[in-house]
Amino acid sequence: MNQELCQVLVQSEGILVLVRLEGNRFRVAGHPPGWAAVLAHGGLHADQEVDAAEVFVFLELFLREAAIVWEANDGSSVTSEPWTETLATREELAFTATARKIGGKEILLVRGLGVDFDERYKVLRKARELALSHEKLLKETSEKETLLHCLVHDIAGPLTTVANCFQLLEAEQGLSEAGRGLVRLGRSATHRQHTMLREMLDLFAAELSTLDQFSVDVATAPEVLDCAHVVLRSLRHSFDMKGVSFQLLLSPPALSVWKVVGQREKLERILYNLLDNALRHAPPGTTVTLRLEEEERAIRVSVVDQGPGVEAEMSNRLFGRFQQGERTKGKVGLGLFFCRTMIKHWSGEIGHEPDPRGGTCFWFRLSKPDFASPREETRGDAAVPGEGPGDTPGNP
Amino acid sequence: MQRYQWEGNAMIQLKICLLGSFAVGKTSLVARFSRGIFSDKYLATLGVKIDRKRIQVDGTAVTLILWDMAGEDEFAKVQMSYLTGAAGYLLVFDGTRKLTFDQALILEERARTTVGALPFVVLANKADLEDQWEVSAGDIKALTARKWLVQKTSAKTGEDVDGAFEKLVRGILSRRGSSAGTQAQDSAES
Repeated sequence: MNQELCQVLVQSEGILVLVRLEGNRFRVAGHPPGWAAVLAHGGLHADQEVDAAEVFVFLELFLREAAIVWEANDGSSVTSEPWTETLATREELAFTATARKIGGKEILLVRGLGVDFDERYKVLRKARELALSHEKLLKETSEKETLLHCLVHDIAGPLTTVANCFQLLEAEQGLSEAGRGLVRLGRSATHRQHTMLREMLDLFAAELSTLDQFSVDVATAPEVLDCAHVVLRSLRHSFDMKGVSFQLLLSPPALSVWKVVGQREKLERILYNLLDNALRHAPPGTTVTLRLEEEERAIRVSVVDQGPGVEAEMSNRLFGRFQQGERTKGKVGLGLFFCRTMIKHWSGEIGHEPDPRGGTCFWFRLSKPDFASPREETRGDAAVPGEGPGDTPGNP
Repeated sequence: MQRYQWEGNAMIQLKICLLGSFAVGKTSLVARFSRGIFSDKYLATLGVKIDRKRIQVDGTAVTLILWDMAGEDEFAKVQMSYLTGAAGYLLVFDGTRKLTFDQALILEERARTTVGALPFVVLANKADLEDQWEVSAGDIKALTARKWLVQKTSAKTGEDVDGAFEKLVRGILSRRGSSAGTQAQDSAES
């Protein structure tokens, strides 16, 4: 009666009892617990003789420690670290094994772990997630401090002086037309630097998740075509100076509403960055094309230049922080990073690809406001579609 | 000494361990390799997780017993004794976390001290996040200068995951001579 009771108890507790015969050979004592029927190696049944190290490869090492306890025969026991096996059902189950000598018999108890293990697992996972968050936070803080340093010392001070000088010069009488052109060029440059300054500040804010507010509402969502007109106007002089022309193509041409999910000011900045980037790489006499295309649920915006194309070694890193090509140094390398940050923030897609006619096509896709899904929590380490070589999902 | 077992039709069985700091993607690499799946969710490993995968390398059928060992941190220490009987191991670091690269170097030294020189391949994981890498090309070059085999992988996209496991198996088999010769020799040993 006692023996039967013990058998029921160990079975209900998910414990497999193995009695050692010789070496790694064991006999299954009593009825094995439910999980033993779905082991990947094959199910176990009562009185079956098995090689324990074949059933659980983990035990091959543990049995060496177990042998010491069995030989000592002093009533002591040894328990293994947990290990996890994938069952025939594809479920995973964690186990521990305990070796002890009882009534002259060398016993191995293999226990399928349940709630206790789950709790341990949850605590460990939480602790590690917190450790990772802490690590990430330290890294971000360090990067932000670096950026802030650059911002304060390299940009802000001289920029104010230069901007003031241009303002005074513009008020001067008797400037030749050529001179006025130069003043305009200078003001345009200070404007660009000022934009860069704001980008940096916005990046801090974006990464601190304080830019969560953006419009998915049809009434207030920004019009990408309006934004494009504003940006093209501001860049007109720069295009003229370099002898590069631009064209705006709409598909379909008659579409009257070009609303997308986002924030107007930031969207203008993204367009500015992409067009400014195209202009820097476009040789004189070529054309930069801004194309707006309506898709079923989104608007795709592409900027195509006829420049030398993206350097192969830069292709994967183009949207990263502080990235700049060998051919055109001189920028901090935050423009495209800003574009990626914001587009990702709005649950859009961004990428680049070689243009068939030479040059490069940078594109992004934003949902129309009426098709925007509720925003999911974005992770800092989420992949950006279209970033890798040849990875341009959704491109025609 | 690596133990070879035979299963029916001349199958070689190799124990392969995965070593590396916590959250470098060891469990995800095994999930990608053995089941072709990936989850963004962090899966902590307690102790060790054991999986199996049958592959063919250069015409040789091999069953891999994969020991996905818990990553080391302040909460847990890597049990180097689990390397006993291993034919080789994969040393994994996360390219976006330089600290894990440094820890990989320490783990390699501890492994060598514990079980001697085993074949291993270094996996520079999270290649899909290369724009966020802290580990530089120079760091990796320093490893290859030591004649270490380094493979960039992404458990997320699957990039070069199978290739990395195969590279290790190929290294193990070639260390023991040509595959056919090795089978015959190890058959006699076992």
